[in-house]
Amino acid sequence: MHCDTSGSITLFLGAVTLVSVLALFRLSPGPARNGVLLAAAGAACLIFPLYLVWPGVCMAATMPCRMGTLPAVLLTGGVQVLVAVVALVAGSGGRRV
Amino acid sequence: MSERFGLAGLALRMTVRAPLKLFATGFLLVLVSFLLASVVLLRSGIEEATARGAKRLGADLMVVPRGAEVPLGAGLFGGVPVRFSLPEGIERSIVAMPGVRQVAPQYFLSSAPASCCEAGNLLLVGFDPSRDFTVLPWLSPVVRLKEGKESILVGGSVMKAPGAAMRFYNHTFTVAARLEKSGMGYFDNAVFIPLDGVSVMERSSKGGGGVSLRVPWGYPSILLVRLAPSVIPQDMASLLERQHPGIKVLTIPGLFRENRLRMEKLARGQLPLAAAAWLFAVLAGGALQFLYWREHRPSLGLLHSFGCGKGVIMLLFGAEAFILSLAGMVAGSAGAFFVLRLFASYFAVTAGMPLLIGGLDLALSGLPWLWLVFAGTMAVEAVIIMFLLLRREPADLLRGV
Repeated sequence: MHCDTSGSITLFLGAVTLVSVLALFRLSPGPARNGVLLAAAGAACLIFPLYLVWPGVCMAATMPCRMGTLPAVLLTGGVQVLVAVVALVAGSGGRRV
Repeated sequence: MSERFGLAGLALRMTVRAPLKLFATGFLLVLVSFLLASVVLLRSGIEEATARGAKRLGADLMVVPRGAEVPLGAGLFGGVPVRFSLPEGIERSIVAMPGVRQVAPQYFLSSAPASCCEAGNLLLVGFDPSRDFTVLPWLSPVVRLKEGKESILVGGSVMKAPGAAMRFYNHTFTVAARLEKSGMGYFDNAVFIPLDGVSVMERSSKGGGGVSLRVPWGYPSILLVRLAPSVIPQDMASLLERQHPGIKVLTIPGLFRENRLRMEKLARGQLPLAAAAWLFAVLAGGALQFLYWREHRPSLGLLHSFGCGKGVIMLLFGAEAFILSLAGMVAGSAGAFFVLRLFASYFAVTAGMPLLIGGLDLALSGLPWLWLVFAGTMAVEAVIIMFLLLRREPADLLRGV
């Protein structure tokens, strides 16, 4: 079932995100931290093709996976990508005034 | 390596390399804009979906069993499977009435009610293509329902492309076309099956060893009625209800009455909400800007002592506040647009209301004015704060006095 595979993907990406966040707490700014940020952004980016193309979700719009899980996962994934990119850009900037 | 820059470079660095100011002011405006845009978009989304839904139904009256109004709302606006039947003989009786031009019966069925099944929980609508004026007129002229009881039509939110196969009750159908999204669950989430196909599906269901389907032939769920132009729908509705006590006859404006009332409520609340949000932005934005610039007085003193006039500094940071606030407002509105678009189905199903978050033209309805008012206010506040701070001598500002 699409729901089942989608659920497994959500769990896997959630775990990757959790590990990335824990690593970011431990790391000071530098190449390692940037690497973790990139990994977190990459993991979040995976959500989009996985949900929208493969394996997808149920075709009925009233199913919980279509109505609730899909938008929630896309939203959290989008925010995660945005935060990671902003952190990377801010981290690469110069001194602050 | 040390950076070298002139006066303009220093001013530019003071505006773009200030994450605290960027974050605090931007975030505040994003929040305010998100809230306001959500209300504006919800109202316009419900309005648009209601207008499209009423137009697509194409009927003057809808006849439903008495007491079925609540499940009808869930089926019609949310697109969730509902089942009810009209009393026997109603169709024949209404067809024979003077002033009635056309009657289209529809049978509401449901696919397997399993939450784990890909094609489960779907509203299946059995319709008669020869009498239909609700579904077929909206198809492209090139789309034809094939003979052989195999063709079906799916709503705009059902993820099946034309030509795909769908199996219900041990019978495989082919999707002939997908309807354009309307924001109404009945059109978006349902599968429309010609009555011949329903009949074949009913027979097939008995042979597969699975769930068997029983269609209440002669007892349709709803009747869509078209009247002669001279007949007043309200009068005909009252007459039909008097003649047949077991039915409820809804005019199309009556059908959407509840939605119209909710829209009016939202519209009434829009102005006070905007005023409250503006007041909040004025107070919180003013406090944020004042505290920030009070802490950064030496930077202003530096600019001033380098020969940057008071007017130029006020203009510079006023423009900065304007651009930052405008960016925050646009970002908040865009956020509201995307969140509502993502959760439109969830909203429609849980609230039982039609909702269509369309393109950017809809999203922009009235919002740019709000953006300008809020950004303008923040700019004026920035100019006032600059004016107050720059009354001191540059040396005092540099010392942070």
